[in-house]
Amino acid sequence: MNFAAFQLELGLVALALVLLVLDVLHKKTLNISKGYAIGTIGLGILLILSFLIKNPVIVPDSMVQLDGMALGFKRMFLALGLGFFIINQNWIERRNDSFITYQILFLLALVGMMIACSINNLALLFLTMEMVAVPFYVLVGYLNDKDSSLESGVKYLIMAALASAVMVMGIAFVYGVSGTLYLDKLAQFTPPAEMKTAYWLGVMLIVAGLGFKISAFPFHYWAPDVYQGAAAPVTGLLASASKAVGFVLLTRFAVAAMPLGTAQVTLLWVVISAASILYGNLCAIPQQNVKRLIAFSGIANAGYMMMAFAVGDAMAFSAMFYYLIAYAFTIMGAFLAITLVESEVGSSDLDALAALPGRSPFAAFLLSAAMVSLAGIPPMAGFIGKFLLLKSVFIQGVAGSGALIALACIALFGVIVSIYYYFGVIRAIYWPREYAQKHHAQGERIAFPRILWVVGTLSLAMMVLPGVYPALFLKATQWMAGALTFVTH
Amino acid sequence: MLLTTILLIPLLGALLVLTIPANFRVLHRGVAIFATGLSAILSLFLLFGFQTGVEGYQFVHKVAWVPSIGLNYHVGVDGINLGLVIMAAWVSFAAALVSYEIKKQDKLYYSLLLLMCGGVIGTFASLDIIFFYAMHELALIPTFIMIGVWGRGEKRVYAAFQMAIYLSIGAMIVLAGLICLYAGAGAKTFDMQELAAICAAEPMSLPLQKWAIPTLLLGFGILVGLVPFHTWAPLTYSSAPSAPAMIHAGVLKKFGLYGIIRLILPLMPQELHPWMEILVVMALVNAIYCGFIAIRQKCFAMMCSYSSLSHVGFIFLGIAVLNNLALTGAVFLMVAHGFLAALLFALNGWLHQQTGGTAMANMGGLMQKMPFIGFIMSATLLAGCGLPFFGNFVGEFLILFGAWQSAWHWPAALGVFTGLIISAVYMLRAIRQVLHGQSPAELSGVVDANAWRKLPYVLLIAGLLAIGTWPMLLTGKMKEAVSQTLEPVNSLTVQDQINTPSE
Repeated sequence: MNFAAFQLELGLVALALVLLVLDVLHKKTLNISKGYAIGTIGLGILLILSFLIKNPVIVPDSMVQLDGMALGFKRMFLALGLGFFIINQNWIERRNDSFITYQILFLLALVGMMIACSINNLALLFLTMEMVAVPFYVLVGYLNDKDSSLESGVKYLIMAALASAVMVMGIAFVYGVSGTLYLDKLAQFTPPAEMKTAYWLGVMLIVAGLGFKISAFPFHYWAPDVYQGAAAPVTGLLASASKAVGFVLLTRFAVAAMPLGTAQVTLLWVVISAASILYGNLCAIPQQNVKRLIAFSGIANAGYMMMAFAVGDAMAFSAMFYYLIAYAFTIMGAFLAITLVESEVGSSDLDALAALPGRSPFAAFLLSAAMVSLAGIPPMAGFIGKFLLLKSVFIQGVAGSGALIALACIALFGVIVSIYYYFGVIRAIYWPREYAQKHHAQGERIAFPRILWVVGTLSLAMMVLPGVYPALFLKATQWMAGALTFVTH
Repeated sequence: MLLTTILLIPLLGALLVLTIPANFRVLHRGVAIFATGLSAILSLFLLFGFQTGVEGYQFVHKVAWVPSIGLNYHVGVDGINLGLVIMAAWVSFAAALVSYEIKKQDKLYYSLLLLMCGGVIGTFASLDIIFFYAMHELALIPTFIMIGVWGRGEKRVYAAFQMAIYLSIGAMIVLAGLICLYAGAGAKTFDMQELAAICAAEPMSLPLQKWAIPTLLLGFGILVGLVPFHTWAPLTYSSAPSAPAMIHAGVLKKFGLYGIIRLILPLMPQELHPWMEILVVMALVNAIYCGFIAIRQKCFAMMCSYSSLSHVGFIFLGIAVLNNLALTGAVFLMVAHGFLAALLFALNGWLHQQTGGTAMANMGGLMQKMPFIGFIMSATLLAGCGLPFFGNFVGEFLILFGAWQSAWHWPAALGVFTGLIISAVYMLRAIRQVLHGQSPAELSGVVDANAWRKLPYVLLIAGLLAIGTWPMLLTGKMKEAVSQTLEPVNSLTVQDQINTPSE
């Protein structure tokens, strides 16, 4: 067993177990602040440890590989996990809820996400996807006194189970043709001519299953309803961490199983990504609920990120990693503010955001900064991310692929459309409609503990720093993308 | 380093304003005025330290930003952007000074304003095309919030969204064109200087030029308000508070014109001619058509917006006829028009505060009630019709002479004359309607600007007079840069003449 590649996950499981045991020892009345402190400090220590591991651990024939990409994403998930742990905690305190149920489920999902970063095996791909999905079944339906939350819980359960089933079917096909579950072996395997259909059927089914996770068109139907129905911190997790897991798994799989960059594969990704960009952006325009709006914008953002698969070289993937990391932290910041609004005003409609500038100026600023970054305005990270992605698409396109030029143009169109609704959110915050001004704008200051400032600042830093000083982050993502070996058969 | 300082002071000021608590209102305004004023004064050192007769960029500061893809922070000035940077700094200062009209959410306002000021200075100082683009966007977005929160009139929300989306379309098209340039040059660099050297050594592939030129022209055209892509401008400027309107109309809008001069002319000379001929026609349409619309306007702000679009037509003409004289005139007019547009929108702001609206029919006889503003307004409007001793006269004059030298003698000269006569019609009519005649009874309460509030107007009109009475201040420094910009095109035409056998 390859423990060296596994230490962070073991630490995280240990942390979750310690919290559980403490809870039992305290007869299920674990002092919130004690558990909170242990969890925060534990996650913090793990995050620091993850930066101390410098060298990749690659063992032949192992189901997990701790290569550059895995290490980079593990750091991201730990930082996201720490941020969301604190956001969750604040939300739980506002609800006077029990500490343990929610946070343990969240930590266990985080374990799944961490393992997903370093998979080298299709079985493990399925397993980690389930490890992330099963806690989310509960989390999405967590507000059991609310119909909308229960409804979205059931929706998520059914759709995720369906996606898993489809994916297992795909894995069976791929295994049947290639005789291996290991991704590195799959990368060296060329399907024989008579088995090509079966192989590609399998690949497509797996892509469909993962497409569900990242809410790419046409596997996105669950996203708007589930995002809207779930509690704000859960939606935040779905939109950032869960989507990131989907992309990590998809990258691992697609790079090993598909010859990216060949005409047909490029066309496939161009179609999915263009459809996602158009659908997501156009459907986001009329939305009046900020969580639903982020669901549609998330479909569009999945589309932007899938442009990397259409190009299929290390440069494009480093741009995609850059975009993904910036996106995840931006969403985290946005949901910090949305969680505050939802628990204080009791609604996540755009009108409710009118409460922010008067009652919590920092949250208002954070949410607007997140929207500016998502809209791709310099000097935020979103701009450099989109620029890097577009640059790699254009360079391949000018080199002779008309489909890619078309994709780049669609992406630019999507960015323009997106400015309308992202700025609509800013508008709803700073100069609300009269109705919202009357009903939501007044009120007391929302309590904003210091620790939330830390999370907000972390998120803000991850929106601004990669945009102002991209070299550092680009170096990291190039290192991460350097771990990928592209198939050319 | 001097340029970096000039550009960083407002940006750091923006951060500083954000850290000052919301109830220290005087401090927000103080920081804004101090920061913009400091960078305006420092910008004069550029003017006096600039070495005339030297080719290439001066005051260069270059730092590798993202070395792996060839992105640099690279600023510098030559004759072309020297005047623009200085103008940007002074207009920013004036804009900070006229912002006393802002009565709510000062903190947000001044931080956005400073962001915008840093952005416009950075736009014209930068020599890296992505930085150039990014700084423009940085200056553009605050305008959206400023129109929405502090704007004027019922339609300000619509105006804010219209401006943001319309100009984003332009910006995205420009971005696509810029990335095409990068991919087409084949070298990993976004540096204007290096790109120019590469394109001089080996011309960019012709099919790429055929696509890149119209793409960039379309994008820049939208951003500048080239007819028929001008429809965003009037509503934007009439809804915006004075300061963003001044900076946007005066400085930021020159982004597109400057981009054409810097990126299209020297980098893609081979396929340039057909497009420039189209541009000449469109420029004349801009100058005359927008002039006619300006005559029809009943509202002072709308008239200013259309007059600004009409003047932009002259600048386009100066660029499109492709000779040194006209290009010098175009650059000169860009600077002069920056001061002029800033003055017009500052005056518009004063009228709006005093009379509660900008409909000219409701005004009259204001010369007696506010002699100082009246004097400045007459001077500004006369400068707008091309009165000698003001900067605009010199620019328009040079463009006219340059256009006469080109293949477009009669149409261009007639177009410029018609445009000037039209502008005289609406400018003089505005003087009559606003300043002379009977003052309506409702306007008994209007007051003139007091000592401090005179300052921004004095500064701007001084700028206009300085370059108008002593044009060599700028033109003398422009010679090398202008001939260097047009050198690739000119050398091509000379070769064509050698290749065609003469009878």
